Amino acid sequence: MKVRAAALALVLVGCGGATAPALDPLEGILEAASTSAPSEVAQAREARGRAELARRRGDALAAADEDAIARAWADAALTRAELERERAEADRLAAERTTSELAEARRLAAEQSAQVRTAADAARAATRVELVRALQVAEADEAQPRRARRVSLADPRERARAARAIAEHARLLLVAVESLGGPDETLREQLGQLEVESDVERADAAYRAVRRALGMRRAASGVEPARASWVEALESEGFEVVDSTLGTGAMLDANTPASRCSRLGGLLASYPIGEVLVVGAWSGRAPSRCLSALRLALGERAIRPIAGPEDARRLVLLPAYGAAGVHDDEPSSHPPSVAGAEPVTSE
Amino acid sequence: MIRAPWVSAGFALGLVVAAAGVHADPPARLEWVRHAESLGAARSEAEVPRVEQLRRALDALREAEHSGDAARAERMARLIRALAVHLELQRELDTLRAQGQEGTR
Repeated sequence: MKVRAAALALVLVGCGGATAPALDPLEGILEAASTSAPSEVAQAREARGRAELARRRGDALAAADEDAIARAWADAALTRAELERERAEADRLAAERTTSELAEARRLAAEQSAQVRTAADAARAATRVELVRALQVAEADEAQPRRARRVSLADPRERARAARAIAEHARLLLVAVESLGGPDETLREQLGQLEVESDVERADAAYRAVRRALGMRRAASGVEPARASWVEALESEGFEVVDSTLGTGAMLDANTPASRCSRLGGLLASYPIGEVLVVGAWSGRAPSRCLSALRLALGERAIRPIAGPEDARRLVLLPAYGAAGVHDDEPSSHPPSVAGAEPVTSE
Repeated sequence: MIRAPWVSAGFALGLVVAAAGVHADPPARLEWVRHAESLGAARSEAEVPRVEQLRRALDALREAEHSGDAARAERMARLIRALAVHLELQRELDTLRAQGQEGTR
């Protein structure tokens, strides 16, 4: 009998030893909630301790009361743990919402900004097209024999529109002129008259006068050469901009009319720093007339011809306003040669 | 008038709390009882069992006080406190969930 009991005990011990002791469900709850609800868990454990003492002394009612208290605190601990978890989740969602709202606001702002930029770019491009068109009208008019000028372009609305575009551009340039040395009453008066009478020839004359004044003021005030401004000016008058190691300027061809060269001369005059390089084959009638027009517009300013490749291209460059010359105080008198371009001592 | 079943339980709790509060002995116990009283009637069906348990604990407290069983009165007061804390936390959780549902709408 004793042997059988011992064998049964061994079997039970063997079974029990192979598995973990059964987990107390209440203790499991308290363990799980101990981080989030330490106060409630402590209360529950104290009640459990008191229940155990009551059981030991045989007070069943007290033990049952303390067990009820322990369960109530365990429920409270679980609820607090859940509350803390849901609060953290609500905070996380609120933060996510805020982040998402901020991202949306940034996206909208960027979109609006892009729309504004696009509109501004479109307006600038439209203004430039308008000016180039107006200048073409002025050049065509200028190219007519003197007596035919005023009747060469029959559409008065077209002429008035061109005159307004040129005058508007001249007014914008006048702002730049006056920012470099105060008001210029003569130019103001000249432009003021254009408000009364729209005339292409007078508008163009005023525009050239403002360009000349701008050049003089830039020269007098020692304004730093600004390549961007030079490029913008060339583009605004419809010239094809070219960048080379010798400088930045405009590309012309053998058929460029003298009136166009004269206009380029006006532009060059408003960028007064350094010499003017003319690169290419400048022999032949049309190029020579072009060179004469440039000389007329530039007055005493040095023009240096450089022999270039034997093709139709003719370049008019400003070394001081080129990518390499922007920061030079004084433009180099010996600009670097480029393939196919050689300095020549005289025309 | 249609009245939810838990309202009567809450009403009964209020009466019992008021009666038990008069006889509360230590200041802490009086405070716990008043706290339970401030929780009022059950606000939902889910709260009814907890409010009922509170009512029974308050009954037991009153009986213990009448019979001079100070030890049981003290235990009942601690039980009332634990139940009240749990009820309060549960209400806080319900409010948070209601706000969450409101926010997602």
